[in-house]
Amino acid sequence: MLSKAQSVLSKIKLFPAPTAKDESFEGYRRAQALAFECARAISAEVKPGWSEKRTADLMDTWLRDNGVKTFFHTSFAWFGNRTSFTGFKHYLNFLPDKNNILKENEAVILDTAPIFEGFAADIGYSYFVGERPEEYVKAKNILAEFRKEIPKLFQSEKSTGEIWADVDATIRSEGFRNCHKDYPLGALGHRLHEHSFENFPALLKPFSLHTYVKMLSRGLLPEVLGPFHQGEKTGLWAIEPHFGNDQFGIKFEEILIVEKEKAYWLDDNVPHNQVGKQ
Amino acid sequence: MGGNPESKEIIFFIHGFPDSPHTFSAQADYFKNDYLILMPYLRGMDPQSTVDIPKNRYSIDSIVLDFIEIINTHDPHGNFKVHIVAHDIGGLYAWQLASDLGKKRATLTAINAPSIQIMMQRLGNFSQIRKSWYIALFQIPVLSETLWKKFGSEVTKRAFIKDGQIPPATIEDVSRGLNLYRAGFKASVKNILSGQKSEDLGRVLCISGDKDPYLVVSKKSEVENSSSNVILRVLEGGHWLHQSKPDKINQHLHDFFRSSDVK
Repeated sequence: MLSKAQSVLSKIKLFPAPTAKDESFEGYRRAQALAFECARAISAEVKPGWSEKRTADLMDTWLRDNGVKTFFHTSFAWFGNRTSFTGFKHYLNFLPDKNNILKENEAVILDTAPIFEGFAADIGYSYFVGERPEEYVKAKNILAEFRKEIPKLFQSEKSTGEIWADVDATIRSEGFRNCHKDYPLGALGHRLHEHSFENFPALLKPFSLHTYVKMLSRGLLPEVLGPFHQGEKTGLWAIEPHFGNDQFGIKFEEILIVEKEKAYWLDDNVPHNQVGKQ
Repeated sequence: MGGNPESKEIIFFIHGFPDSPHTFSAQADYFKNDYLILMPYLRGMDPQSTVDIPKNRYSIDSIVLDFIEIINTHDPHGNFKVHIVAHDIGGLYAWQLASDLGKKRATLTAINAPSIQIMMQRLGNFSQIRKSWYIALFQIPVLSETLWKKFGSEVTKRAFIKDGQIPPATIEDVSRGLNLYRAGFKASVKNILSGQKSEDLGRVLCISGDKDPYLVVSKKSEVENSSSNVILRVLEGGHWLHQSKPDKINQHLHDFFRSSDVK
């Protein structure tokens, strides 16, 4: 029923699905690099005693100080078992919590999505403060495997729905809980766009008016890679596999370019692809 | 920057408005053999700087990030402990920086330099409101800049003379610093709305001048929300105590630093 409704809704759109242009890639790459630089800079400062809210606020400030005028979404920071959305009951739970204070031996996820010089990026950055438990190391290895396998899945004949199901099955078979299914529409990923009106105020938080306009005007559902996604597979996606258990969650998020015959990450120079850097 | 680069302790001086890092010259000179001295300009206050900072980039967080970057540049491996010393509006940044530095923070000294939280507690204090009228004026863009450009130099001279100081020989145009007050006001509103409480900052020394024309004398109870280990010293004097009584302030700082866990 839901699938049918989504199928119908996906046909209601004002603009066709976007096709990423090669000449735009450099813009997206710069936006993504800036977002990762922010995550690295702030993660170097986050100390036990900081709240999620403080961390997310400083990320936004860092980005604005470095030329960002608006956001696809403002920054999220999750600590401890909130990294796996444990105990989340409603939308407000996802917002950075001023009362959740980082402690030693906890997982951290930073997620931010600036629009920089007209291009949106969306990144996820995971790390562990203190000694990493074995399960976390295992999860990190699975995440590294996803980075290798996801482009292959997109290159295959599989539909987007089948790709979602494949990733979900791997997570469950490894004994973890799929956390990205808790995102709006169960998003394993979503599209990103160029923005001509970045000087226009965001008006809304965490997702800006720019985001709502771009996504709703394109019918929303082709924009979000959920289990029942309907629409083109090709284009530019922010892919964000996210999983965990009751103690921690882990994810990465970065841009994947999907063309007719190939799929590849926009930039290999990302923190989770650099051995020993985290 | 100056002082002893071999030291594992930094003294980070944060000046106020309208002022410059030179306000702490007597302290920098006194401590230079034992500490690494960092005394940056606040955003927009360096008259030599040609960087055009957008007006909305003067927030407390932006300035704290500036300071963290400066500290990291001099301490890339994070081995140093930091003593923060602030005056006037520098207090807004000092209290937040002290919180963000966590274990890297050794001590915080506020010389007539309240935090946002302390200023909020004084909202009902008529004496403080009367002393802070100019903050309301600084919220008006264009007008306050125009007035400051025209009369700022004279106002600064009079402020120093009123405080019993010799005014600086040259008074630069620091009208961009008015943005600091606007950002500070926004932060105050945000602070009220969020009901944000500060964490325990450990060792804090508050020095207050009993004749400060801009601030009422600090009370221990105001600071105790932010620190369980606060020392309050009320000295005879005005706003620029570190300039009017450098020997006394240096001695207080010396004793306070020495009694901290770092040494």
